[in-house]
Amino acid sequence: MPRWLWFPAALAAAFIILPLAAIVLRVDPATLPALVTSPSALEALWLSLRTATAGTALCILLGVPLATVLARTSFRGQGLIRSLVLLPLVLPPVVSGLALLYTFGRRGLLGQSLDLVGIQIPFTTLAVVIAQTFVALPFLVISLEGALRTSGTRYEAVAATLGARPTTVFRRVTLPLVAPGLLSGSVLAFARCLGEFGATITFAGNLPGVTSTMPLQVYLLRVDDPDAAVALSLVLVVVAIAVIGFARHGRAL
Amino acid sequence: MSALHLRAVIARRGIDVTLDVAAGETVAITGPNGAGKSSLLGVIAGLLRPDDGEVRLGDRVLDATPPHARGVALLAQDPLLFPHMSVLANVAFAPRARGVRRRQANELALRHLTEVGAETLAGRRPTEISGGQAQRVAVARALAADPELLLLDEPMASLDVDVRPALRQTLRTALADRTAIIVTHDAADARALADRVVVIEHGHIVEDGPTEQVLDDPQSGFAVRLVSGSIK
Repeated sequence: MPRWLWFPAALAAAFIILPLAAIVLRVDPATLPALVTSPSALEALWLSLRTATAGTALCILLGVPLATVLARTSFRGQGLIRSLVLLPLVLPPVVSGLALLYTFGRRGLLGQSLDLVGIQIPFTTLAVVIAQTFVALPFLVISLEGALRTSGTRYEAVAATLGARPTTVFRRVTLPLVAPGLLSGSVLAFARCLGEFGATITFAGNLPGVTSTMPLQVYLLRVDDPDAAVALSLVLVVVAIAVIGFARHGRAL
Repeated sequence: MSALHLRAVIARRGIDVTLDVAAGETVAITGPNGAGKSSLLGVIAGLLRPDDGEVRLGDRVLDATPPHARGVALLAQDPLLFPHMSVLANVAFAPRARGVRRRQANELALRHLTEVGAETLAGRRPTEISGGQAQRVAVARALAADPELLLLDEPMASLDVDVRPALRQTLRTALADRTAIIVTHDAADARALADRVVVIEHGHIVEDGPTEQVLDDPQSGFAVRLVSGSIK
């Protein structure tokens, strides 16, 4: 390696670390406890934790079967399905939110039928969970499909010749073997749920206690009460650091 | 324990084999690499679909039967013990899968571990035992499935030469009155374990006879080389 690479490399590291330091330095330790434990902050934090947990659970429920089908079968159009499923990863979140609005909104693809039976999803807490699941699902599917491909089918074949039905093989061999991949995928999905902003504000709005999660609260407060916005941001930074540490431990990153 | 009738055609690989194994008989299949030996085991176990053919075990036609319902256990070159289970749980896997209660399954597993001389390893993890020990446990695990037919695909190929005789002895006891097919490149394995030797070259059976006859008076090119010791 040429020695001069050290210089741009250090620049790149500083580029990431400096803004994080800036927000940490902006925090006033004296007022921090009060700001983080204010009723509106706690309300947003509680809502964020609830929705992100529900979103992650939905990701696991939907993502495990999808990743397994993608990793263990081949069918016409599979490549296309995989590409489409991964799309929310690169789609601007606001576009995802708009897409969800035209799906579940009152005049949306499914929303019209839902409206007839009295179910309205947009601008509810459920909408927050749906938005989070939509953008986080690809993270889980990617990690898990990779883990499934790496672990291969040899153990599953042995289990089958030992008399285990496909469901038993899936439960007792396939899933335990990819448990680390599933765990790190879930952690990444949880982090993406927790940080969701664009799709949420488009599809679920910004109603305190109902759809106003931490990132939305930060955005809301940044002008009127910058100290509170910074305090909440610090909480999100700490959670993000914990997630990275956790995911790296499980070797997802 | 059941007799096997196999006919398998895999056009892409040029394989066309018809083979019968009597109930309780152990047949050694040998032949050069790529001759199609492992593919035949795959067809019998239901892991590989032939272009044409038939697999009959006893009076059951298995062609449409999924692997788990065939009563055919496969022991591969690698032990492939489930890494997330203890040795005991590995051996108890098959009984548990067919609905035996945990306690009884564990007792059964311990009996099979004792049978292969590995009962002291019961509490260990697969990563904590040697290759030879792992293959012993794999034998116990296959036996615990109580298979009507046992398939062994070069079970000793990945083991050190000095641990092979011990495993061979274990297999000799285990296969004594079982229907089994063992793929091997080792004349000593065939002599110790098999009643009959079948030589496959280029996807076809080129020699088939009682072990002594084939090994003492080999006719096919591969069998001559096998006996002369030029294949290891």
